[in-house]
Parts: sequence; structure tokens; C-alpha cells
Amino acid sequence: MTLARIGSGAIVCVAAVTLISAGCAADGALSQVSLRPQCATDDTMCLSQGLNAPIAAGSSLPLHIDIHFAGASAPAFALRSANTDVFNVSGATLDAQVDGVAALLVTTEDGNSVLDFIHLFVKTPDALHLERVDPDRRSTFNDEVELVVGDSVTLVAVLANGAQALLGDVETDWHAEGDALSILRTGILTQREIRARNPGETTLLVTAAGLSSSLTIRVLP
Amino acid sequence: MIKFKAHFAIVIAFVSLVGCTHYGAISSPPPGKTASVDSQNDRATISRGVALAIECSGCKVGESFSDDSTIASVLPASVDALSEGATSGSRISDPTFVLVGENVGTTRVRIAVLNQPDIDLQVTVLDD
Repeated sequence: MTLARIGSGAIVCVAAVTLISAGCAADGALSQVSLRPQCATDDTMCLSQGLNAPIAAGSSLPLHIDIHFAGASAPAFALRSANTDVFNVSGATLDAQVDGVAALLVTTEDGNSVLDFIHLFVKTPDALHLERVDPDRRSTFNDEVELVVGDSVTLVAVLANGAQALLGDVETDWHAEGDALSILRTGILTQREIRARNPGETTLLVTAAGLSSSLTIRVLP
Repeated sequence: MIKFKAHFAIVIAFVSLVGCTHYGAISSPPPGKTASVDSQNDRATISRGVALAIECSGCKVGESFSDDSTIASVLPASVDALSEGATSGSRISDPTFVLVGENVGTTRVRIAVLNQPDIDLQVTVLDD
């Protein structure tokens, strides 16, 4: 094996490890900062999506920010929106307001110098989808769901505009008639663990941002 | 060899004194928005909420300011690139500043230049 082959293999390995650990982050215009949504380390869908979509108007998006500054560790930084009509910044969280695009400036702590910037789009959602969450994937539903008493499934409510899933977290309301299901919070605004409690059939209704989606769930004894 | 280095240093010093200022955008606007700079006529056009990175040789970006920062603001960029002449084989970059379209209108941004008159950049911020 030649040294060149060893070298190229090492590069591939480094790239793969970097991708898994950092996710698909978006680089700033000056290539000094990379940004991605804050994701659970086992949520590969969230990690891989990165910032590859507009943010849903009315939602909030916590960001993970990496600064790559040659010859220095990451300095203390601050974030600023170039148009607060489009989105506001609170700490490392963006609060999307209305349709539009604006620059997110990553500055030094005093705001006097720019480390990098990225333009982010905000879009009003027109649909709400329910997806099943698995560690390595998400899947949509095209049929009712059957569970056995004691089974559970984790669902996520995803805001979309047309065919495009949007980024951002919103308050969601989950409701099912009867006592067939328990609906448990998971610590993530848009997610719930649905646990089958008693045999029967019910409709799970989810509402968020003025939109709704439903799913028929049958619990078997 | 020592004589060559001395000549090179003199040339560098001469260029620095005479000055050779040129500037241009090093970033792009997002789709559907405007961000451009015309260095021939010292004009910039930018959409509201958009930022534009501008590289400028010979500029003292830390001494730049906007006549009306509610219309367009200008901030120096901290870039990790090495300054010209500091070394060879590494990325070399000119001083860089970031222009931000804050609100619709027209204003002037004054950029200080080493050993030359300031650049008087007319900035128009669009609501497009």
C-alpha cells in the first residue's frame, strides 16, 4: 500500500468522523464559523439536516456555533440579527418572526468586530406533518398505526411549507380521546412519546402554529 | 542575497507609501437579494437585512464609519488570514469589513485608507 493511499484513506476517515460528530453544519460567508441546529447526539436526522431549510415563522431555533480561528481559541462572541423584523436573537436561539431573509452576524462579545455572518430564511408554514422518530431515521405515515398494550412510539410534529420541511421548534398540543393512549413529553417541544395503555382505537390530533395533523392509532390487547 | 532583500524591502516600503487601494466584495447576497459594490464609482447597493463582506487593500477598516448607521452600518471583520508579507505559503488576505443594510435609505460610509484620502462610499439600502 502506498503512502498516498494511506493518506487518502486517513482523509476519508477524518471526514467521516467529522461529519458524524459535527453534523452538516452551514459555513459563514468568511468560512470562520459553522452553524447548525442544536440536536441530540443520537438524532441523526437533525444532525444531517443542518440549516438546509428556512426557519418556520413563529418558531425558535437554538443554534450550535463552532468558531474556527487559526492561531486562537474561540473568542467570546455575540449574535446579532441584521433585520429584527425577520428574526430576533436571544442568547444562541433565533426567534423567527415573518417571511424574509436576514443576516445573522457573529461578532466579538463587544459587537465591534465581525467574526462571520450567514443569511437565514424565514418562511410561514402551511402544513404540519407527523413523523416517527427512530435513532437513525424518521419515517412518515401513509396508514394507521397499530400498537400492542405497553408498546410506545415517539412522534415528532414537523412544520412544512409545500414540500419543504422547515426548521424550528414551536409549542405543540397533542390530544387523543379516551384512555387508549398516554401522551408523554420527551423534553423536546415538538416530540411526544405515545404509549399504548388500553385496547381500543383513537385519533391522535396534533396542533401547532395554527395547523393540525391527525393519526389513527389502534391499540391491540 | 542581503542586497536583494534590501531592494525588496525598499519596493514594499515604496508601494506602501504610494498606496494602491482597491476593494471589492468577497461574499454573495442570498438568493433574491442585492449586495454589490462598484469600486469605480464608490457606490454600494444592498438589500435591507443583508450583509456584504468587502476586502480592501490599504484600508484601515477599524477606522471606518457610517454617516447614518441606522441605514447602513460598517464593521471591521476579524479574519484569521495572515497579513501580506508576514509569511509565505499561507492564505494572504487584505483587511476586510462588513457592510450591513439596516434600513431603507441612502447614506455614506467613510473608509480610512493608509496614506490616501478616505474612500467615500455611497450606500443605498433597498427594500427588495
